[in-house]
Amino acid sequence: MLQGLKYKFILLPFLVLPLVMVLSLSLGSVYIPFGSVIKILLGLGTDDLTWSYIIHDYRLPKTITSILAGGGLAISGLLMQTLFRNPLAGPYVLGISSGASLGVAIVVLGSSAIGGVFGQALSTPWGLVIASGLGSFSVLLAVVSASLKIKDTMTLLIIGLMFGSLSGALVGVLSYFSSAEKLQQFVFWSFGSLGSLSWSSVALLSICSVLGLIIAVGSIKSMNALLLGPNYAESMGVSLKKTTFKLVLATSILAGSITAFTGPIAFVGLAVPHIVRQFTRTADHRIMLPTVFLWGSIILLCCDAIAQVPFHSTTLPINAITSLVGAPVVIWLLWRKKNIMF
Amino acid sequence: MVDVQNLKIGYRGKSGPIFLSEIHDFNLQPGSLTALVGPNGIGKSTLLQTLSGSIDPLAGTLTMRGLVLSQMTPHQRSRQLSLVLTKSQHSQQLMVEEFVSLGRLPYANWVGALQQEDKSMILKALEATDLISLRYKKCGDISDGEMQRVAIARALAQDTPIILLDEPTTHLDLHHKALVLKLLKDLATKHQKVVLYATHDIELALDIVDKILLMTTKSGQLLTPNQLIEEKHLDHLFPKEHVYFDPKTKRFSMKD
Repeated sequence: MLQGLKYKFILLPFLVLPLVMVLSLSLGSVYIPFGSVIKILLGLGTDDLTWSYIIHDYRLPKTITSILAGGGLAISGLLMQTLFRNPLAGPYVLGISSGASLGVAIVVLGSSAIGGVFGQALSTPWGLVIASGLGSFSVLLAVVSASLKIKDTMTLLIIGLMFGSLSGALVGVLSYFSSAEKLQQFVFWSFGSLGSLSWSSVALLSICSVLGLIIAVGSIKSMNALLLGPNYAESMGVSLKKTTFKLVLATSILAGSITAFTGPIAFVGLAVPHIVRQFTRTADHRIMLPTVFLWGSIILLCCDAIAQVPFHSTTLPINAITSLVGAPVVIWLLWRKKNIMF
Repeated sequence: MVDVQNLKIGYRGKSGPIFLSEIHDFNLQPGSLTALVGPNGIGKSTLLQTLSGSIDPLAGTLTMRGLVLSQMTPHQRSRQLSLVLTKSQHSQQLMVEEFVSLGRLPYANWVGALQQEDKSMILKALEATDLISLRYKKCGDISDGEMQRVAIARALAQDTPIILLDEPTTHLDLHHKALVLKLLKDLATKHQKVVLYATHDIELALDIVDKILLMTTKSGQLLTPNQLIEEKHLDHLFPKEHVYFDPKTKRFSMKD
């Protein structure tokens, strides 16, 4: 009975994901008939070269980005919740997004101070990716090195939060001294965007995601042991320091690279593991890891479809939509359950 | 099976090691149930942590089945001794059966897949602790007494010759205390294991255990319950102003 139930929940998202993918590919500011979308995807050619261009160079990279970002952030959230034994932990709990915003804030808001050609070069899309990547990377380097020294995960959590508010404060100071135009550019970055990635960016993001996922899969057994608490885990031959390091590293790679390319995306990482837990009835990471990844992808694709405002040329900020759609769902789930358990 | 010589326990603080207690020598035999008894703050938990290898002794040697504890890898240790803890910070989301199954992790492959042998071991552990009817319940939904049994079942599933328990009878009512102690006695005698448990329930321990490891200020010694009573060790266990031990009834009583 139990086995059957588990497999049903693994199989379901495998069926849903392709459907949502096709949906996401057929929605956009330009209307393309559903039949033509399928034809273009299958390589059967089309009457309209613009359509083909939109699908191949705009919507397909965007869909893949959504899958990687949604799944990757959800996995990072799961890893952090397991490591910190805390239902409030998420991919950004260690200050990754704050680090990224600091990097971008320095480039965007501080570029007038740097000035000249150099400042111009940094404000390009790739400049932003590098800046936010470096920003989250330096915060993470601090947290990872702390994780090698500190055995207690709660201390690590607080250090992460402190790094986060430190970089948040620096962003505040930078914003205070910036022009309205620069400020607007920064705010636009913080809205998050899934759509602006080129194929080469998608390739780089995929490499980072696969790397992070490999580390996560390699930690399945230790994470399951951690479900019993740190003392039991240690008594069963699991090294706490090594596991902490591996989980922080995987989260850094996943959430760091995703934030660098898409900007901050709230909610997905925190909420998807909770949503999945409500349905799977198991905490086993062999089941949780694939299910959380797939549902993360599905939910981000759905949010993106809503953000597109179907058949309309407006696009809403994805970072707002994820919370706008997601928070009520989680509140409703918990309302029914009455309690949140980890 | 567990041999201890000139053991000094304590922990390493910022300003050097902090000495807690000293035990000259003792050994625990298979098939014996031993209670670890002593007042609060005397180092019972530290001794258990030292025996489990999670902290190093300040001095002395510890051998388990002929192997020196400090030279064993964490993986080797996980096959020699298992723990039962009161404060384990486990996930409330785990099902009882999952909690017990995780005791088999030291024997599982890299993702933790279980073989037929593991599954029958888990079933046996659930049966021995009378948990079959609770197996699909979440750990967050069961009582403290039931959770204590789940923790013992997990240690059983880990199938180690040595089991160390940290106050397994706290938070339980008298009926469940007796139940847990009888279970421990069974484990020791039927499965020929070394079972050592820390406890404040000295009176109950006197009724059931084979040996008592008594820890008093600065030292510890292994005694039989009768020795403990006849040599009047219990008279000195606590300060005299509030409680006294009556050797006839084998019970502590309050002074007026």
